[in-house]
Amino acid sequence: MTFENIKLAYGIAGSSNTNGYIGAVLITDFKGFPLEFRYTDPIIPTKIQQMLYGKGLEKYIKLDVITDSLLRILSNKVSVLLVQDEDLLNYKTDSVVIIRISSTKAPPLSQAGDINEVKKSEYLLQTSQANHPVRLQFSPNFECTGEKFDNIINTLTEAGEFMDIDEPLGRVYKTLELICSQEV
Amino acid sequence: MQSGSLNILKSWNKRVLVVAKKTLVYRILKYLYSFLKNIYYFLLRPLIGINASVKENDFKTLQVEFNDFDCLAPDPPVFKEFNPTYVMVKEKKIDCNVNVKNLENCISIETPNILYMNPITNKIKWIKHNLGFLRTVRNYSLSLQSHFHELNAGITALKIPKVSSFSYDDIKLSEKVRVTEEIITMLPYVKMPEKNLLFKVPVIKKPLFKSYFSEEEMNKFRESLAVQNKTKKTNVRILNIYDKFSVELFSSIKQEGNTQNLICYLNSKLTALDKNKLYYLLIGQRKDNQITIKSLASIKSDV
Repeated sequence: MTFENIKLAYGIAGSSNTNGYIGAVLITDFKGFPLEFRYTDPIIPTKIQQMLYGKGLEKYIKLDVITDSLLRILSNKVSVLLVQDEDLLNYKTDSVVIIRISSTKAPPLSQAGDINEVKKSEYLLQTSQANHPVRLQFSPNFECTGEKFDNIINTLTEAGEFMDIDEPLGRVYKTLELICSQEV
Repeated sequence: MQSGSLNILKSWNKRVLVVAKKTLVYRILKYLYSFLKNIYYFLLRPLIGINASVKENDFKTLQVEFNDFDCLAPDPPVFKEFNPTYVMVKEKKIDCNVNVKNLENCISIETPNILYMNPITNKIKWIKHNLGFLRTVRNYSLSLQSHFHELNAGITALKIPKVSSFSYDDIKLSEKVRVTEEIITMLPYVKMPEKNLLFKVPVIKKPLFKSYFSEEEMNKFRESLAVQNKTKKTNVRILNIYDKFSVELFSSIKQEGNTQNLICYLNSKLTALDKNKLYYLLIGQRKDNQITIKSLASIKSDV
């Protein structure tokens, strides 16, 4: 895969303060330029639904309702979904690898592309020179060895030469805020 | 036997006499007899005088007769036999308890070759079952009822329930129950905004840590700053370094408030980006006049 074909998907799903649950997915190219952006209308569960679903309501909405709806409707095919919410790692799918990505204050690794295993399913990846490595957390069911894992690391490293790979998540949040402030 | 038949005969004569007294002929004869007796006394008494005949009887031979009605001793009462009360006895066998220890010590030798032993019956301790509980069992229902009475009295004393009358319609449940279906499944609307909106959201660039660069790299950065700003290398000071910058990549770059972050708006007209055209953005300051200067330093050629 050349870096021109790299497509990274960034997804969020969560509750706003008063507007219910919302979610969005941003697909960027290797430069971090947006290719596709989908967002959901706010979901405000009724009181009966809140009582029926109980404590599992938030997880159900984030996984089975928002994430599932967004991934089904995407027109660009993506293989990696980068998220910030740990709950989204529990989304069961075979087509997309969900990775939780977050910035760190750890010292840089020796060179771009180096990885350091923090613990099982959790790695530090150096994406660019003189920058902090990003923290990658895979789903517990994901096998962190083999060709599939190496391809993901290579894709993120190549994209990291052009962009900060954890930066678009902030854009997704700000875009949703912009949409909510205008329309909701 | 003779006295019995005599009593029967007397009682029969008496009954006949009672019945005859009630007839009209008897009453006429009685009136006529009384009238004749009065004539006899008023007409013949002065002539013949009144002679009362006195009979003398020996009390020893006086026969005393008693009627049945005059009997002082009433008939003995007839008692009705009640149904027997059954008592449930749980244990028919009454065990006895023999204190063996005392039995062993009860033998004593008083004189040579003579054994003296207390009667063994004195050493037997009979367990007397308390049969009083049977009476408690027999009266259990009565006792329970009394407890209920006490309980009810207590409850009544605490609160007197107020019972209101109501009609049957008030408590009748409707057979046609209205069933409401709640929509549980949640399916959101997924929308896609205009693409221009996405380019209105800037990219936030944060400065790199200068300590992560070697001294040689920093010297080249200073040299680049000095050359592009037409001054000496010793006259410039590097303030911030940002990576992955291109002239065509961003359409607008601003500083985010008083922070060192840069707000960079993506250039929507950018079609392609060459990897070799990415630079470090250097923000520095001239030491002589404190003017902020900037430059782009290539990753490979300059450093």
